[in-house]
Amino acid sequence: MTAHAPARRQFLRGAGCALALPWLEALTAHTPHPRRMPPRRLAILVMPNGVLPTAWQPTPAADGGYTPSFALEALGPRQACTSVLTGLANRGSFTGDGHYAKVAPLLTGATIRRTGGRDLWNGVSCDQLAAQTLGHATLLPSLELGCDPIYPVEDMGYSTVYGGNLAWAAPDRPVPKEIAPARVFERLVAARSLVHEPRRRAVLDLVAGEARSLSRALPTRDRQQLGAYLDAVHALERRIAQATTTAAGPLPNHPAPPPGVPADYPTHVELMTDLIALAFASDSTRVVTFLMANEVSGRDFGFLDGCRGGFHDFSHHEGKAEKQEPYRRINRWHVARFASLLDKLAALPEGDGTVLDHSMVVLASAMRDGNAHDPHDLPILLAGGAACGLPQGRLLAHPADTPLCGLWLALLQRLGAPVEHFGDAVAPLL
Amino acid sequence: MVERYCGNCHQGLDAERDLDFAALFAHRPAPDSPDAARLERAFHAVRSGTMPPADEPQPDAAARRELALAFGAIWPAPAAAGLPTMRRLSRLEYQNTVRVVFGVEPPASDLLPEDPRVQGFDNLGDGRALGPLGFEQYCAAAAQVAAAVLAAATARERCFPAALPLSDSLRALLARAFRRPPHAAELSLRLDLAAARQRAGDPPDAVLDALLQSILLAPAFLFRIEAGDPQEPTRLTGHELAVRLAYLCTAAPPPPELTAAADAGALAAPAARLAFAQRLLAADGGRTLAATFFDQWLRARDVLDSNADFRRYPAIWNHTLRPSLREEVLRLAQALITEDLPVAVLLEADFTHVDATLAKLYGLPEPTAHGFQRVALPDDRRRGVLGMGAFLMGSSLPLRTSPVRRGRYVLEVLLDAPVPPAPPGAGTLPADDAPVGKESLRAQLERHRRDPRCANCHAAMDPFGLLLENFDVLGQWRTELHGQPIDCSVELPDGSQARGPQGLQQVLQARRDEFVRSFAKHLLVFASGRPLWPSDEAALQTIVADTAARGGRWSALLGAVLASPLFSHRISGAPR
Repeated sequence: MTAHAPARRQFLRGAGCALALPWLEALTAHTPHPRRMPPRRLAILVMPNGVLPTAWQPTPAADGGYTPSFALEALGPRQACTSVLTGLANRGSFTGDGHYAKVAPLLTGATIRRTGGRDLWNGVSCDQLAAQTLGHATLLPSLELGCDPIYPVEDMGYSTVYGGNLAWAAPDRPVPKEIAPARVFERLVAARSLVHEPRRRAVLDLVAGEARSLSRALPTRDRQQLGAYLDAVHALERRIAQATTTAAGPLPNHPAPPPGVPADYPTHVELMTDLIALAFASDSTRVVTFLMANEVSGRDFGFLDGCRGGFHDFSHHEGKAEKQEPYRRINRWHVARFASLLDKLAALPEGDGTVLDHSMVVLASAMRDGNAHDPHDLPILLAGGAACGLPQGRLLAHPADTPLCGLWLALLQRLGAPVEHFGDAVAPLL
Repeated sequence: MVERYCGNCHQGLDAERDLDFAALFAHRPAPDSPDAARLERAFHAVRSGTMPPADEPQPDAAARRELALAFGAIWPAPAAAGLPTMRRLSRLEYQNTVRVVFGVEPPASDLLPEDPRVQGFDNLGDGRALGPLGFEQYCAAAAQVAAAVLAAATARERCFPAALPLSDSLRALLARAFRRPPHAAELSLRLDLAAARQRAGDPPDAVLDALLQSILLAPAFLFRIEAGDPQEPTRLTGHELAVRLAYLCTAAPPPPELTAAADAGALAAPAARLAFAQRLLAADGGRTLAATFFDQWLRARDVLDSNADFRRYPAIWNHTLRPSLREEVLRLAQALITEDLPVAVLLEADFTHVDATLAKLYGLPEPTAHGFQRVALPDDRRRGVLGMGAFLMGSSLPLRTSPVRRGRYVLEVLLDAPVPPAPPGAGTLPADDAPVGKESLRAQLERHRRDPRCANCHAAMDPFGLLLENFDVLGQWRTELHGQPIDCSVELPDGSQARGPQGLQQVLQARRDEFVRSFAKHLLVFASGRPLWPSDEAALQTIVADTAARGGRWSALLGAVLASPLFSHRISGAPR
């Protein structure tokens, strides 16, 4: 890590792996807001490169729960509210080689088109469907978070863009993610200060009108580009309207994260989970996706004991113990970060319980054994959401290749989205 | 021709790999069909020499070109293949455009929307649609730029000269910002906006601020829109040509003299396009083109992300090493441009540019002055980009070199011979080159190559990489590895023998036309903003022939590219 100003050091002292940050305590003092019914929320965290199956699979217990595996031990006390789902798969990802063909459709259930960039085609992701149907209630319809810029490499003929985006607003339109914690924070702050200014309104009207009139004379792909532009303008107009009519929860007084992209990865992930907790607690948004690292990430986990080397390389362990050991430790580290987010949400009282009780939190990977790019029996954890009727601390075994989309459908319905089917699922899983 | 070289195996009901040319030539395959994909693979295979197999009669270079043309002619282009997708300004282009148009410093690049590299370049339209987050970033940037303009007297005078009525100054500002004369409505709507804001009681600066933001957020500013000549939509207008030229050479809007040439219709002449391009490139010594196109095509910037293991290769502790390695490539590209060298110099240069860090890395005498200096290379091992650490290190893994990646770079970047993805379960080589048991890395690679599923591609990739095994992870010369002498002699796919980097240089010398074709193709993707397809092969072959006919220098290649309909038109390639 490079040298930082004292303000940053002060901030980081609270970060790291601490369970409750100073400002989260401050937040606790400010919440709950007077509200009749706490809102329901969805957060989906995605870890790249699959898991080591033997380190993941828990042992069933007589009461329907489970004895944790090596990786799941990191849940600690949060095991009580975390269910393990097995047997789920995304049929859309059975064809297509490599990582990108699996991660891009993880939340859409589609089969993506193999292209180097022209005419991208995926489905609409469940988080975006939620944002489109329910996002009008909050300042930001959804938040898309990540840690890596889009890698400049194609994977097996699939565009760079497929590897770095979970959220898709339309089949041809990935939703870029924010990777700098400070900018996420600024966005949460800015969302509150947006006011209806006639002058801004006039400017937006003017440029939107120009996009519409230019569009008429242009070919299809250009019209799509301008369509995306227009949707972005309208999204901002909606947010302005929202900011003036919604009584948003206050954003508690606390230090902003340091500017830029943190050089230290654990700090980066910790800050992002802080921001998820902050966004939920202040009701800035109710839908978050967090791509913990882009698929095929070769990040060096040298900060963990015995894990010096590339993550992706370890995931192709070929059954060798010297690669499996770091691979499973890295898996466990991801589960620990997930548990840390659960801790933060559980520390925030809301209504009769906590924010966690009203937040459905998922940890998923787009493949099971990274060694074989196995798209079956995906590793899925489902936590929190006790007040949304989610099962707590169960091992939920499903028949092989049960549509993962059934889970997304179930979560969408619990959020209140009026959807009857999603992807290849016609009935909710839960 | 096709029957003569391919018919033996690929004809009739029992055709190899379901590739039946008799059927394909009788009924053109449908776009996006499996047959179209097979045809495209065949197109690349005959071009790059992997087909016909070595035990069949081999076509000569001219026959290979003819085969590629024949396949390209029946290859079914997808809908609107010849149209680029409207391009959003890259971060660099946005910043340069703000500087030139408004005369103020732009926002830092990481405050602007991300530029994913699609098809190798960060300024294409495909895959870079604007989202809500990006538009918010543009809004913040617009507010910042507008405030800066109003705060600086010179910038203010530049945008709204005190001597001119608002309508005149606005027309001139719009023409600069939109890189073409504004449409009547674009001007009148903004004048209406100003009048309305005045009526609403906004102070004068608030009115100007709104006008500036309405320009900075307009699609005609943020995007490079090409609508074509109204009379002949496949042709770009003069202004659109000027924009392509200016952003190609300087990543910035056209300067006034180029706009004047566009107004006068002078850019219809290819010679005028070349003259302007050379003038633009001379203005900054080719720096921008080197740092945009060459940097991305030759993957020089990838070395910045290289993660050689610092315990085994402590030299990478030097934080200037990786940036200096990238700079070395850019300096060669600038030399190519400013001195109008033969394009082959990228592969053959017997000189390079080093600073103290690189001189130490390469074992060259320390430079006599601070910064980069040109030096002659003392022997014929290191030549051009393949002897540079940016490639040698950028293609290596933390603990070993990767002959496979190096070979793949030669094929994909230098020869435009795409390598298909590895089949699932292809296996991996160890991460470290320290010998495990008795088998060396090379022996394991050779065993892997005997697997028939792997043989085809690895037979083409691995030899090129193995010829460079004397260059270690950092690109330093070595003669042994873990106590074993390095064997850098290989058998090439055609059965001939080659040895060391000099052997690779000879191979590439014999394939010079393919290199020129790859250079031109990548430059055209960057300049025109669209992928090139097998159906564009005839136009590409013309460029290669013209480049050779004009002497093979940089200006010859640039001139042939700028004269091509692939540059000046929106739809080209074989007619459907």
